[in-house]
Amino acid sequence: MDRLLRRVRDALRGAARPERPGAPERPPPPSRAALRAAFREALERAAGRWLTARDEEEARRRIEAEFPGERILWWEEDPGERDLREAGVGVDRADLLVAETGTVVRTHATREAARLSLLPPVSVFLAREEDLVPDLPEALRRLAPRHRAGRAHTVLVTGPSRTADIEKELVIPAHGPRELLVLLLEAPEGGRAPGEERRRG
Amino acid sequence: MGRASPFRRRARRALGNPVLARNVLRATDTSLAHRREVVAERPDWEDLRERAAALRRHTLARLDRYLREFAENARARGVQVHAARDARAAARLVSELARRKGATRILKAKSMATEEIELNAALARRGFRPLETDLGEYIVQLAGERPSHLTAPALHRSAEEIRDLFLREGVIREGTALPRDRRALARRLSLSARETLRSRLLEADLGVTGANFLVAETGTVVLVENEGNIRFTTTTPPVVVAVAGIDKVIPRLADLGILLPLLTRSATGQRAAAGVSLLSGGPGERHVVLLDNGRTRMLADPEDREILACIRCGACLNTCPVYRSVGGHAYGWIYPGPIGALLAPLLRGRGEDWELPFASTLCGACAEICPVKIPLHEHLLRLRARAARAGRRGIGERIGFRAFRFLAGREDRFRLAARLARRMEGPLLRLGLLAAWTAAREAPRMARPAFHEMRGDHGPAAS
Repeated sequence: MDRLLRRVRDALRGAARPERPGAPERPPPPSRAALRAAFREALERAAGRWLTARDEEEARRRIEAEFPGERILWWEEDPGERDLREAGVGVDRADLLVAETGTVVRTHATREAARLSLLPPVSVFLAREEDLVPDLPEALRRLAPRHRAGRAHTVLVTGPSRTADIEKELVIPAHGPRELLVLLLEAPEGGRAPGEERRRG
Repeated sequence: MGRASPFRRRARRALGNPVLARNVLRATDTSLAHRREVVAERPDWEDLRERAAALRRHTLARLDRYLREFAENARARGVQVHAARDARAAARLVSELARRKGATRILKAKSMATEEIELNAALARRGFRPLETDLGEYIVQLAGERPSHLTAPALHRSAEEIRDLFLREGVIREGTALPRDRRALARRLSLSARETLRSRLLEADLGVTGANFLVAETGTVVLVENEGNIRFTTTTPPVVVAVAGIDKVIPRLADLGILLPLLTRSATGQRAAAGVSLLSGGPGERHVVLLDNGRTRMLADPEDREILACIRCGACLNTCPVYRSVGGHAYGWIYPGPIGALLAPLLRGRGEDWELPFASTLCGACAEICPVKIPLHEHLLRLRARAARAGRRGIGERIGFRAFRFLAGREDRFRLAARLARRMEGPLLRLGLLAAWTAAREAPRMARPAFHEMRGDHGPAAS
């Protein structure tokens, strides 16, 4: 490594050092309703599905009703590899929703946790209104502290897995989930969603 | 430049293959159409390009600092960071790791760096056969070929050809009913890969990936994908190694806010890729191999350095009239198209690679589409000059240009030559003596009367 660094240093001896460009100007944050609408539109454009529920109880009922007879794995079960292979639906928490692209952002603590939205054919993410951010730069701003602090494994998921490697024909699914749903727990007017404290990781 | 020079030979073969021509044109047209649509949605596109270009140039000019920062931060997260001076050293590091781990099952993510170091061949020599998990790479691997495009490795293959390949290799069982319709067939074949590969994605000893970016401030390996295969490759095996050129380093996580949208919109015309993994350390054992292989040599030249800004989106391939005609394999190395015609001579530098800068019309479409604003056609011209100075061009070309300089250097000589050429062009064309040029092009006819005759006595410097 030291030899490589020396070669790089030698190569750059006397080089002009252009400055780092400034960050782009940020548009004013849109209203929560606008974010929600934008996220939903982008998610559906990426072949994802959108659901809402008033609270976690209702969310569970809705997911069970959507997938009757399927083995549904919840993130708080800390599922093992066996469960992951047998489940039809994996329900994970979302950390952030990126409105511009319909992207779900999730940081995982363990290898198995990272596979909950990968192995089961259906992937569901539960999110809250305050998880909505307008765009990728804002999502990265919120993610950065966790990655600066130490080990972290984050995925940014936009729609179900896909491929266009044969004749550019877009085909869903590829190796990951064939269906992706985002279920938003709706906050009552002007406040946090009721129910338990938000759980992370 | 001999008649049978490798590029010309391969290009001629490609031009004689109508299926290939159709496949390449259709795929690149599709990518360009998708790109146009999503680029039009971003009014700040030019601003993004400007910022990305400035950011890449800034980073490369301070790569010593950012590379050290990346290595330190990756190590702080438990990652073992290795440096490889050349392709062989990098391939040895990975195959040594595979041997140490007794890795019989190796998953591979799509990666141009591992193509560059010919990792699969190196692993095969030690008895390892890694599984290419990206569908395009899987097809190319089954066919015993190399990728023909940076982001769509099997774009040169038609659905029918892939069907025959899958039947031959047992990916699809003989006698399976398959749709005749091309699009339905492409669908069916794509879906079959999921069934065939699933069990192998679930059990593995070693994962090998490239990297789209390496983030200095957090020691993060950034991987962009659509299929989910990279997420399997990085979470199934207990040990994962990423091979990445030193040019992949970016300063901060926030920089992805500029580079990711440029990459996915330019490459596949997607607003966002289906999956982006940000891997800052484990879980599990993690390695990063930082590949030089000619990059520090490029870095030392201020103009070559600019070419290292490339983020491998492949848009310059899609838009290049030469690539669109001959496809990727004609270039003879794993980096094709305008960017390949620069990287091959500068990174690999074989004699035949120096022919590639001449495989361009210098139309500048590549520079116009480049998301990090590399003036590719200007660099192509610059490398032509370098090749000529180094005496790499044939004797015929040297004599030809000398003769031109002699004739064009004085008015009377030039007029004489023009008169002669007008007299001779008819017989020359009729006898087919200019066939090397006219076989694939129309010969422009000499003007009658010539411009200097029309100008007559109106004097010379008519401005």
